[in-house]
Amino acid sequence: MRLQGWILDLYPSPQGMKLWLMEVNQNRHRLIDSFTPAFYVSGSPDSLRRLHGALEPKHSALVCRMTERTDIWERESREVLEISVQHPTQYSSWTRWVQRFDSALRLYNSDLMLASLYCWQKNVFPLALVEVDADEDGQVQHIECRDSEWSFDYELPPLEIMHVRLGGLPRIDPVHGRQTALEVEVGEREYELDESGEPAAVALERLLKWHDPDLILTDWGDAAILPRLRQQAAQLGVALQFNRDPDAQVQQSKARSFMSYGRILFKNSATTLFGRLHVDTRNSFIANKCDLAGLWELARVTKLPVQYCARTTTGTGISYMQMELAYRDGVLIPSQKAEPEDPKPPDALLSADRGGLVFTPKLGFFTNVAELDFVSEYPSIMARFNVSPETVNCPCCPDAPRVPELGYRICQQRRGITSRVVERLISKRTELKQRQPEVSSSTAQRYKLQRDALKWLLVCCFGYTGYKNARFGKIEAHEAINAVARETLLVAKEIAETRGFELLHALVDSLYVWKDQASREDYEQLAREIERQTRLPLAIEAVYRYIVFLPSRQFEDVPVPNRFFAVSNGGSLKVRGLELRRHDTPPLIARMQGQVLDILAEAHDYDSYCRKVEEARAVERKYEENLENGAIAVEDLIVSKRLTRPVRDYRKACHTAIAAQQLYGSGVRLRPGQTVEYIITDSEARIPNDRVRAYSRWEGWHGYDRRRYREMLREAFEVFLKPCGA
Amino acid sequence: MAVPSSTDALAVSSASPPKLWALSELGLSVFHGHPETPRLFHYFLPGLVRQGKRILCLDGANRFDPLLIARFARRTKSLPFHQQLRVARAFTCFQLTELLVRAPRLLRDFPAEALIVTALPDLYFDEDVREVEAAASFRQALAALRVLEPLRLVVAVFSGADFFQTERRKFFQQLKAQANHVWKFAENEEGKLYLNSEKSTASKPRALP
Repeated sequence: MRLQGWILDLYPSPQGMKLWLMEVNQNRHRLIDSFTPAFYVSGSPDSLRRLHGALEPKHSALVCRMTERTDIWERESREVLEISVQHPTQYSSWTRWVQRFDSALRLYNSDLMLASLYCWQKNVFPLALVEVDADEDGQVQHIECRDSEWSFDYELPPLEIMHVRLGGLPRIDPVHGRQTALEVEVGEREYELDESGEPAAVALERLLKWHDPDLILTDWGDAAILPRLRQQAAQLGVALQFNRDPDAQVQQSKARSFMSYGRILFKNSATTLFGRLHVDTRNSFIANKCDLAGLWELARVTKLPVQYCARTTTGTGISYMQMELAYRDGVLIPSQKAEPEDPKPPDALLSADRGGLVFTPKLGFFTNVAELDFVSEYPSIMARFNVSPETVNCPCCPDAPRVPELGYRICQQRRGITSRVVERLISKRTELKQRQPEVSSSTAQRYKLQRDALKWLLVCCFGYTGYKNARFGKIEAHEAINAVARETLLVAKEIAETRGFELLHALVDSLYVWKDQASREDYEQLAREIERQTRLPLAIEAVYRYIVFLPSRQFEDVPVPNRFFAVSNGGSLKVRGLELRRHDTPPLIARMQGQVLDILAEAHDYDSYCRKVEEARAVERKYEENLENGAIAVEDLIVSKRLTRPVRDYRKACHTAIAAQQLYGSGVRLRPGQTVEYIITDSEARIPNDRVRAYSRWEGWHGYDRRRYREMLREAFEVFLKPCGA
Repeated sequence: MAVPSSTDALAVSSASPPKLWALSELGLSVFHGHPETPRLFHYFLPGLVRQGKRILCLDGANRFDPLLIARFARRTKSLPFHQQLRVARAFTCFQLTELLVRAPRLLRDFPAEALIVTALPDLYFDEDVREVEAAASFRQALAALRVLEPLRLVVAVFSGADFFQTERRKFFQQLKAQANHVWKFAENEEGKLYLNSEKSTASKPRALP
């Protein structure tokens, strides 16, 4: 039979790669394609011979042959043993077997996601439109891609989507004690499974059979809803079929805490289905930020299976794109990052180990200020100047131009893998932006989400060059990019000042410049000149009617980067560093600041600003009144804080520790990086436990601390008074 | 606890017998016993530089502090830290192993008389790295250290392994077994550090201020 449809899901099975194909008429097919993933082993000729000999008796499971592949750092072909695994599900166990056989051997391509490796081999990708010839048993004879991951307008499979969530406040983790009815929505139909009649697991099983959804989209499904339902089904002896594939078991991964850029973060467990997709929007950065359109885009360009793509970091996405290029170039993919830093003298380390350049702002109120932003600056540097881990200080270009400050050389002969990946992403993102004005509003919205998803890939590609686990990472590449960015900002500053502009603030890749009576055309000319000299794209983010640079919270006269608010000539607001932007701010405070800013946005100059502040004061007072009168929903008072350590390790009775202890005491297991939500009940209570109450343990009689919330309102309003000298 | 502050070590060096904070034994020495051990190697550097020795530092703990070296250099004025010191950081156990494997080549390019290694085997305790891989990588690291034995080289490993709760602590026993000298930092009643020899031909405790 010949089928045309989209690849909905794919995963390895003992017989090969299992594909779920969805036709345009919503028929779904389970297919098997033969697939023998290979990994490579490098070592001394003797040790490879010994390994080859030891593997010979295992010829029913493995096929071995000597071949050549390229080492990315040495840029030379190397003789390696290629080991092809007949049954894909045994791939990992064979790599471990080889590692145990001789720990001195080096393994390559040995811990790749097999679904992606299959995609690279067959030139397909998740959600691609493909044509398949298959026999009656579903065995694929031939598969051909009718799609491109780089196309802008692509058709997507007509997915049947089932939304599953718990009633109540969606931002609160149900594991913290939220017990509400399950809400299920499929198309126009809505169901409430409240346990008053039949158990939710029984009702949901019926709905799954009835609607047979392709995608289950949940809020807190990974760690709360699906595990609970499965547990209930097991207790009742009900066969709850989340999977469409009857031969596969639902996969539940472990939650974990980890450090990133000095912060401890928490990654919840994942519930992965087979033959059907499950995306938990609370456990998917990309679905949360860029909706499903962004997720589809990312799955297509990174070639990561949808469910994995939804839950992994965008860094993994970039990494897989690099690995695909390496695979196509015949470059060995190391199983771990082993390329260390080159030795340097201490002063060189001091010069190199620095981040972006910052010029702290001049404090106060300024009108007619332009913000000039280098567009995707760090990725653009990587693409434009060919900065990639293997191109920095390459052995082939001793006379290559030097990176400013550091003296590193950049390869002039070959394009780097990271530069090529980044180049493609920048190009697609730029094209989507250019097309946006010419398309319908719904397409424009989809383009925006696609662009945002690509932006997240670009954002992390720089950090990934220095990331300790990036397989093709090298710290010198990270340092070189930073050095070029610093030099670029300095050049831009000098050009601006030479042309009579004053630099009010500069932050890594953006400059805030001012010149008396400057027109937009003046700013555009400046931008073009900077672009010409730096060879990096620069755009006018906005010309602000006014901008207010605020001091540090602790010291009135100390400027801090990125703490300001501004109103563009078009009237739109840009806010950085205010309570409104913080994740832990109670909604009440954030909403008050938002409303105040809406009033202030009507001001045109300093005098009108000061008048508007007086007008806005009434808004703040109204909030205070509502607080006094109890006319505030308790949800508006929730403070959300991230745990920075295990609950038992808190030594001081800070609010976060108290709330965490309360949850812990009621059986909620919390881990570092998780968020706790609480209400301030009496911040000065002698007994620490009375100071705050975890939101899910809060009851009306606990009340809330009016005085403390009033102080928070006033503090949040005071920042707007500063320009007027208050 | 009397861990030296940034410039104390120099004050001590000039006011105390020169053998304090000095590395002199050829072969592999392991220092451990204090939570700050991976940082304490800094205080051995002035003595080495003063003796005209070149030092290659493979910093697995990411504790190398160029600002502290700058202060040492300012205090001593004439000591050429920047000429006599090279540092390479490792952020994973695989990178540290690779640096050790490459050490003979690195020593050809920069002929050092002293090799300092930090966070061995602490870096191999990373739970994100599977046991089998960490063990394989650590075995390679030990083998790489053995390759250095014929060289007339002071090799000093500064380890914080005592302060990890992991089954992989056995790696540390293996390292100590391979070492020629094992020194343990301890504190006296006044809270000052001293070194106890746990394995050495000369086992007399060495006082540190």
